[in-house]
Amino acid sequence: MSDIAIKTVNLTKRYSGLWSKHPVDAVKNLNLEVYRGEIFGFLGPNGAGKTTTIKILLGIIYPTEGEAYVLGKPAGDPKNHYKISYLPENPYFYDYMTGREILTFYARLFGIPEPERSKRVEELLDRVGLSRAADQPLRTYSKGMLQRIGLAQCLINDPELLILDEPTAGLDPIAHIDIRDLILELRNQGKTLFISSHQLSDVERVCDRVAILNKGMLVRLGKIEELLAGGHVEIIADKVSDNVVEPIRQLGGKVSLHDGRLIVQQPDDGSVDRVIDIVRAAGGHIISVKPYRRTLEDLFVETIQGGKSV
Amino acid sequence: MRMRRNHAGLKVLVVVLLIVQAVLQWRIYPLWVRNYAPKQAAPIGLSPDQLLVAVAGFREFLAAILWVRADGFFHSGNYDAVLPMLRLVTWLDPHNLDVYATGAWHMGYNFTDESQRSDRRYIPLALKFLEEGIQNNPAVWDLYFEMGWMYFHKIQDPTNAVPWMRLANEHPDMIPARRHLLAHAYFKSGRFDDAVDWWAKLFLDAEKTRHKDWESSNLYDVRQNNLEDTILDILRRYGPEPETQPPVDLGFDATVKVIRPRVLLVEGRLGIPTIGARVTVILRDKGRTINYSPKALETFTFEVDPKFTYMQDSLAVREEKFRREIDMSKDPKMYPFKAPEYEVEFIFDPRYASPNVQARIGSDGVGMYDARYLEEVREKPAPVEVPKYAKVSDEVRREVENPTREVSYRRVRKVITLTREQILMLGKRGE
Amino acid sequence: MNAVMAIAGATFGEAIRKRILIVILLIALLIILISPAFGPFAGGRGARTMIISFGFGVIQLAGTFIAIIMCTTMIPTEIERRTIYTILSKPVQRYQFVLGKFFGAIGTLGFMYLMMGIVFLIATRFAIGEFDARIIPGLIMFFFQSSLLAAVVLFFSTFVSPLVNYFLSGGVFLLGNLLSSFLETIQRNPEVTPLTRIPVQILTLILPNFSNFNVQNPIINPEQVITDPVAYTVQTLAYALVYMTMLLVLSMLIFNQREM
Repeated sequence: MSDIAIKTVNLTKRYSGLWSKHPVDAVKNLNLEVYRGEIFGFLGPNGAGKTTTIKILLGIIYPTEGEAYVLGKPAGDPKNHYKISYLPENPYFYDYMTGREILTFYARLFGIPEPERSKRVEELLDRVGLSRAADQPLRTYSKGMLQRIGLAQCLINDPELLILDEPTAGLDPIAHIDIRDLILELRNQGKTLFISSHQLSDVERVCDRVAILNKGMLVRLGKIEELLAGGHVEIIADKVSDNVVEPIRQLGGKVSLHDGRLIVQQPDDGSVDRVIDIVRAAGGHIISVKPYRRTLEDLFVETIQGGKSV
Repeated sequence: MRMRRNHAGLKVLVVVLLIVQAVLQWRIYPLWVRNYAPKQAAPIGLSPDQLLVAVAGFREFLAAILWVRADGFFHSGNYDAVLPMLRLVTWLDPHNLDVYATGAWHMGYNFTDESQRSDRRYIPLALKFLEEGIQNNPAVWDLYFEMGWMYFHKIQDPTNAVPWMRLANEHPDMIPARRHLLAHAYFKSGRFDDAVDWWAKLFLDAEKTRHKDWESSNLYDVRQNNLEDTILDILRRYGPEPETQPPVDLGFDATVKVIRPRVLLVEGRLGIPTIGARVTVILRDKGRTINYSPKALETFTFEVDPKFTYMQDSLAVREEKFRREIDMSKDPKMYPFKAPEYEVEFIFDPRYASPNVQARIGSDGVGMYDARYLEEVREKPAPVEVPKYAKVSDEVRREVENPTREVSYRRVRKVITLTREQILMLGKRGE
Repeated sequence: MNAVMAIAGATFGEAIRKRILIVILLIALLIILISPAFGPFAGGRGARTMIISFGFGVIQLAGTFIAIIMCTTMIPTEIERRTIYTILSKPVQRYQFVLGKFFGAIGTLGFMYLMMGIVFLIATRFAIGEFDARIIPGLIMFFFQSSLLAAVVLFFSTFVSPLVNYFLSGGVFLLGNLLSSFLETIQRNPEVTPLTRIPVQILTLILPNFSNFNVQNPIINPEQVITDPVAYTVQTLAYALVYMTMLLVLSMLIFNQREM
């Protein structure tokens, strides 16, 4: 068995509208590999082509060019659908049904027979914390409860791969944490998670790797630690004389000094100790040494604004 | 890469199914036309919204509503408004027998002048209307009977009543008492043998069920009496010592005088000693008369020729004389007097004379004689076009489609010609 | 098949809770219930004609509206609300989805016809004093008519928007009700040239012929004698089934190619 869960090769989806002369590439030459057992963040602003890619992976739409494989088989292969599951963005479920009924409905789509079906449904209700609300119709559910039901229907077939489209959109922070915990738990069970998002939250931070998509093109791809490498450390000192500025600048930091107060923003590359030594040697008094990590937000904004491709 | 599949098999299946449904439709259509189509001569003339309502499935309902309205018009004497209603109602619901029967009766009987003489120009319309009803309801006895009744009673043409009564009698569900009318029609038209045979058949039929209930035993009695009376009548009139001989000399004559513009005084003599004889007087455009046949009209219409004048009345003979003032001045619509010349026709037809008159001269006039005006009429019924899906035996179908039996009777008839100037008293003093 | 039945069940459950359909059904039931009040207008044989004709008219109209309103939005709504993605990402083939939706629609129509039929039978029972079983075959024919219409609407809904579908399927229904009458009229008119007649004839063989199911006339007028009613009924029902199957296969073919 291959250790690649999703692979796309030069995947392109072109929409040539009936009325518009210029075709639009929703996805352009996308090359992706998602490994089994990882949490893969598929990031990008609205309209970047995330949902289009997901629909291709699910076989709901067909690529214009290129290829897509899911769990080693061409995308849309019906056999795959027993092993994957999908949670669309803000899904609507038949709201006259109760939580139990809707899960039973989805279980029937898999052809799961009784009594296995009822057992599975009860387990899932318990797992997403909806056992008490199981017999209420969905129209009485809160947004968070609906999202949990959505996750539960994703788990009904004990999938190898979960594709979650904007799983935290419109949810409150506590629900974010619930979903993050669930995602981590699923990863620990060895499942692959493919999570798309246009905003950054606690959930995306748990990703092992992320890809950033913009205007249909892949602009960043890599391990989250690698992408976030290269933060800086801020050093503040008092009673510092003017003659320290030049040696510190030579170490590569940004330096400002006013009325004896020194602020240095030093790259986080081991030169911080040297800066501190220089300040101390000059009789300066260190007030604080504070590391600033590069955040996903920084990366995201940088990447989208830069618009550069890898 | 898995791409969209071609599904060639399914496409072939679609073509096969398209052919199969077309074949089915091909077979359904003739059955639909026969049984369920709104068989109407002219759906043109209906407005789109009426058509829409009709399509929506409320046809019969709408028809019933309109018919109720037509009835209202009828009772308030607004006869002209009834006719378009009849057209609309029968188009919407061509199986509403009541509308056909009532409509034909209405056209045949209810358009009259001040003196209650009916406008007989409407009779061909009524016949055409009934014919359409028969085409739309070929397997039901009612309208054949209505047609026969129109000939028998209104037109007083028993010869042509016979084929329609024959067709009506082919239906097992016909009301028993109505079956008697064929025997009367046979008898009046001079087919005495057929009249006896028919009474005998009806009598034997009634005998089978005579003990069922009071109605059945009553029917049996009625038919027995009629059979006996018919045989007795024939024996008395045509037997070894006929009571109709020697013939009565009628000494028939008639005169007509214009006493005021459009007012005629007709008088004359008919030498029949007993009471109950009637002389028919007809005034019509010269050389033109009414063709009492559904075939007289190509399609059904509400229009009569507004230039055609036709008056018919029946004069009672008292003490061998008749006399009547006929006023046609109040109804210019019915009596337009547009033709230059008119014929006034006086007819004594023994077939519709009262029983005591017929006892003396016979219903076919064998016992009467007139030196000047006696005519021997020989006739056959007009061929009837039997609808394809009528439930009629081949024998009866052949008989009415190709009538062979000829009947004859005697009548007296005198024709007097008048000019338009004479009737309108133009160029004369006074008017 | 389990998936098809599950989708059919969910579709049925949703449709019978749809407010507009419930309103149509209730109005139809109410009108049928009060229809015996029209009887005295006509009197005698006319009363029966009127009530039965009216009842059939109401039921046919309600069935038509229910079929069109229910089926135009059935698939588009699923796409709009993204429910369809949760279903098609499961081991459900698109044809199973179409089939499930169709069976759900038929189930809903069956339920509605059952309700209206029972009320109609009760109303006529009180109006004309007898339980008139001849109504039942007429109801079955109308049910098949509505089912065929549902298949037509569902077929269109796989490639046109709901608004266009209302007019398109409404037009096809009207045309399918008039074509046979039209053909019959021009066939009897000797002045119509084959140039006009043949295209009409071809159209009647291709378009769904809804007038085949309008058999209420002899039920309303029982005096009328029908030739071969069994052959007619069997062929017409076979026609409905064949035509519906054809439309379903076409819907599946189109839906399969469709991008959502």
